[in-house]
Amino acid sequence: MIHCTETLAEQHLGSYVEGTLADDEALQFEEHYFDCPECLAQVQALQAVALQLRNQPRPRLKAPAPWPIRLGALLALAAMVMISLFVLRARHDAARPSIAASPAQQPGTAPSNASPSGGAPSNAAAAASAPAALARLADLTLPAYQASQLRGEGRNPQFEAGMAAYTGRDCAHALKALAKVPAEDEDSRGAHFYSGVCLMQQGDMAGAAERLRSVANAGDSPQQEAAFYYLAQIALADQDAAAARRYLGHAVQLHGDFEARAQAEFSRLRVIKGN
Amino acid sequence: MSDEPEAKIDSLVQEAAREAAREKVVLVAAIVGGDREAERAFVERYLGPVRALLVARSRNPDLAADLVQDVMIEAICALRRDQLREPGKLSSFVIAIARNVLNSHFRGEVRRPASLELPDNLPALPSNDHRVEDEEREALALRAIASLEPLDKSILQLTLMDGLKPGVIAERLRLSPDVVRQRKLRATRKVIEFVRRQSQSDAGVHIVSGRKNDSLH
Repeated sequence: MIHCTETLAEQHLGSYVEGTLADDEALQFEEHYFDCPECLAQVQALQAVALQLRNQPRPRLKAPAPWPIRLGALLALAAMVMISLFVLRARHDAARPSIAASPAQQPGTAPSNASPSGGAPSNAAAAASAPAALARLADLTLPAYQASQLRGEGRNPQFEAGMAAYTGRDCAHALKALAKVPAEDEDSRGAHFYSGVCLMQQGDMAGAAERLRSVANAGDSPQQEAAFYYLAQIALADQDAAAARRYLGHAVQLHGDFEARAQAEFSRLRVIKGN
Repeated sequence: MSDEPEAKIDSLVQEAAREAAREKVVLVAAIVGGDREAERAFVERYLGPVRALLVARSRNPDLAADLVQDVMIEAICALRRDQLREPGKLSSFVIAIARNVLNSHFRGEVRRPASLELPDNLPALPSNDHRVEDEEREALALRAIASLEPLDKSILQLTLMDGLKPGVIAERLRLSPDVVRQRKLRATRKVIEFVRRQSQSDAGVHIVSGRKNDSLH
């Protein structure tokens, strides 16, 4: 019997049975398992599972919301309440001086007398406060980073060093290390994304937007949705509601971890726009 | 000091490889010499891996079941004609035939072994032993599936049946692609671990890939 450390099965089994393994690697794995009963048994076991899965009903799943979404939804709700209070307060503040400034207004006069002149200043005040409200909406906090726990998935050492600094909220060192991740490395997109949010946190919005745009425009990646979301935050900080809506729309379309947060921000934007 | 055990393992591995090659040489020589028992042993030895290869490459178990017989017939005919120059490379030879048979099928060619006569005394395929193994494997697969969380089961269904990539599955299930990749890998390992544990714990029930495993007998 051939001695087997199962390294090949460990590496190739899943993708071989899925049919996604490159032909030369598939051939190498076949040459191995034709003479390795243990690995052959694993191939056959997974093939049997695949076959039996065909006959199984598909569960109607509603995927559990991961904790960032649940937390995000709660934060969004809290933020909506605060925005509503803020808007009410702005209306109230805007209405008060107009009443006081009205020369016709006398103490004890009925409020209805003041209404013709009170409406316009209230709208104007709200319009003036809308850009500030937009900026307040911007969520510029650093997103959490969770290292992949897949075994055998080697990370670029510079990326790891950068993310260690990032996790410690040391953006300066994170930026230095992440800048050294080679462009051709598979972690380069992650490096770009986290550099972008570090720059955002440091207040370099143009630099942040440039990095995040490169991630967002590069296509499918684990960071693409987050890149759209944080581009929206930068747009909000720049008080550019149209751009924020556009980026939030892209984030929502990807139906990922940021969907709930992005939708909540849409609602908040509508509240502000409605004034 | 620490190199000694490694050197010993290396030497054992090399010895095992030499032994396996010797067995193949003996098997091939016997088939060339017209030994029908050797042909039967050849079929028992290679039926499982050939079928696994055909299933993996066609992703169609029914087609694989049809073609496995063609591969065996073609291989035996070629061996009878002494067409294998290096008998130690018997496995590579069988793999090449299996791939050719499958490719010919997809190209729509009718591939028949250029034999003098189609062997009429081949062992029946699949043998009863293999049928029993299939049933055991099926039961084990069902138990393994039952041990999965519904979400993991869905991810495996979408991967293995629909051929979807993690990014697309993530979109459907509203998860991040990393989570899908992680859960898929975990579910695959869980299934393999489950099968391995059950195979070891079920007395007398061992899935041994269509050939005799001396350590189990």
